[in-house]
Amino acid sequence: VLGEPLQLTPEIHTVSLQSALQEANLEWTVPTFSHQELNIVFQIEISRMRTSNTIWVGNYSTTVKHEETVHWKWTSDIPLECATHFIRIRAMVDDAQYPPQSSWSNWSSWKEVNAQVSVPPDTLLIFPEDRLLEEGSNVTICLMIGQNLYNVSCKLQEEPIRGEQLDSHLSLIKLNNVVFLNNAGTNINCKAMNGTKNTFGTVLFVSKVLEEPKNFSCETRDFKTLNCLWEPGIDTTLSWHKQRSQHYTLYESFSGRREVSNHRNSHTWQITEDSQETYNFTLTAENNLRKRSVSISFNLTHRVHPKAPHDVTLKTVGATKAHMTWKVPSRGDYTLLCQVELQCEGEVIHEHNVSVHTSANYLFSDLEPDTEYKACVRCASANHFWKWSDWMQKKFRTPEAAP
Amino acid sequence: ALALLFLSMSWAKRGCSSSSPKLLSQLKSQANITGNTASLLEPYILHQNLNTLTLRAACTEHPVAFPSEDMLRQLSKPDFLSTVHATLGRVWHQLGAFRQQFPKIQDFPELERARQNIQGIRNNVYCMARLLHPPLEIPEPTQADSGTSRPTTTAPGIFQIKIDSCRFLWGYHRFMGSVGRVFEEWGDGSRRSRRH
Repeated sequence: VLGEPLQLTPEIHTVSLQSALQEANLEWTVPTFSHQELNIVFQIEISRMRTSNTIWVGNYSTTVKHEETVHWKWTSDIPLECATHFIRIRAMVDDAQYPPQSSWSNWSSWKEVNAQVSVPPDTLLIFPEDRLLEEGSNVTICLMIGQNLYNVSCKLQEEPIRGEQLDSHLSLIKLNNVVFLNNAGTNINCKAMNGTKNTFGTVLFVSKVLEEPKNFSCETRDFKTLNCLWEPGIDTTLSWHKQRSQHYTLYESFSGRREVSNHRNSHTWQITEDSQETYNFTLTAENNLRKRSVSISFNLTHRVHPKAPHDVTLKTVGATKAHMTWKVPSRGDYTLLCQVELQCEGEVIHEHNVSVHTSANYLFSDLEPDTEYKACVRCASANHFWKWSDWMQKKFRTPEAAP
Repeated sequence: ALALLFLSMSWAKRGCSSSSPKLLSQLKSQANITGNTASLLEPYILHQNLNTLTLRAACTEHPVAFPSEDMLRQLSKPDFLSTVHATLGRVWHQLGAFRQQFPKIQDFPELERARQNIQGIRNNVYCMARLLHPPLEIPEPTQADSGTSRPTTTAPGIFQIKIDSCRFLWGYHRFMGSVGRVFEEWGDGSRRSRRH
């Protein structure tokens, strides 16, 4: 009958732990569930050290199908090795087919989650061990104190750090806004006033925050390859193989091609015959902790950085004229605009622009006899200026005027 | 026994000086350099952020066992050379394992320089051994292990490896200091009860 509350007591099947991530992965079912599909809200309660010590309660709404297992993940604020945890769940139907329910189901039985490690009497165990984390983040360190030890004091490098005693053998130290020291990690070290004179410790591998690549741009010099450059920002490499240098991946959405660069700040992208003219690149920087992406879109013809003109020749014509010819790297109907300059004694005395497909020539006139000049030429895209090529220069001297 | 020493020194077929005083002088200065903690331990402490009172103490409180100076003094010259040669062989390998601690070898140039110095000393020890007659005995290392022997049930964490590595370097520098002082006594013949 639709009106009556449904008794759907969940049953926890498995809890698997990923201690390095401080995660507990739960799987449960609702055995008395006979519907095809139903929206249910589950309430999860988590206790630490003893069932009466609740540390976390939360709801999780999901659609449950017949005989389906529900999956859910919890991230602990402290390392799971430090304490035993207990988890139980109850449910309430939250489905339009049913009038609003007012009561929860019964609780499942408590599920014990025990990742605790045993502590030798004269030892101090510190978790997490050799954790990688980002500068500015927080971390809770836990000390598991051997039976023979007491009066434990800890330092972050040389700075004393205080903990909260959960019981005589378990202490928590909360560190906020951790700071990068260098790539060999920050040493947390602890000593007990009695027992062995040993120093116990762990290393926090604090990584600089991965920066977004800056000034990402691509250009072509030959219509065969695209040369992409960017400024990588800080290197987040850490020692002890805790984090290699971030790597950079280029993804081009029109072609769907993805390439990992072998360099920190550049990549050469092959332009294939069937390549499109418009490109939409996403450059992603990635390390163990974070990804940062930037995107650019452009038309290939708007990003032409021509190679310098070549085969420049200079013939003087009489004492007051000179004829210059040159060639440019050509590509079909592509037009370049070439800038011609004449210099005398280091000063630009003449300037002119010439449209060019493959080769061009220009006549300098009104020159002074018996004078040294320097003719210069560079080119750029005629339709969409991007960058000038390098200059090509040719010195010449006009002959003396005929007597 | 001497053949074994030669075999293990196959790489050291470079020419040997035939001048004992010259070799001894080189060995003394090499021991001096490698006995100085500034050559390796101090840069290591700085690089691994162990440069605090507490962590320095942790490093020097339990130095890794190397042959002591007293023990070295009791040895005959051949046994002394063999012990130095064998111990430095282990140090050379152990320092090779240190490379794992750095992203790139270039990040800690002192390590490779130290390994090159050790090769140089071993080569001179080999050459000095050739100038001594009769052939050498190669005793097993008198110390349990000059590596980082920590009875640990599980793989040690990085902090413990740092401390163990630091202790190892501290022990190595002390050992080379002792070797240098023993070589000093070779020079002026003031050695007392030595088995030859």
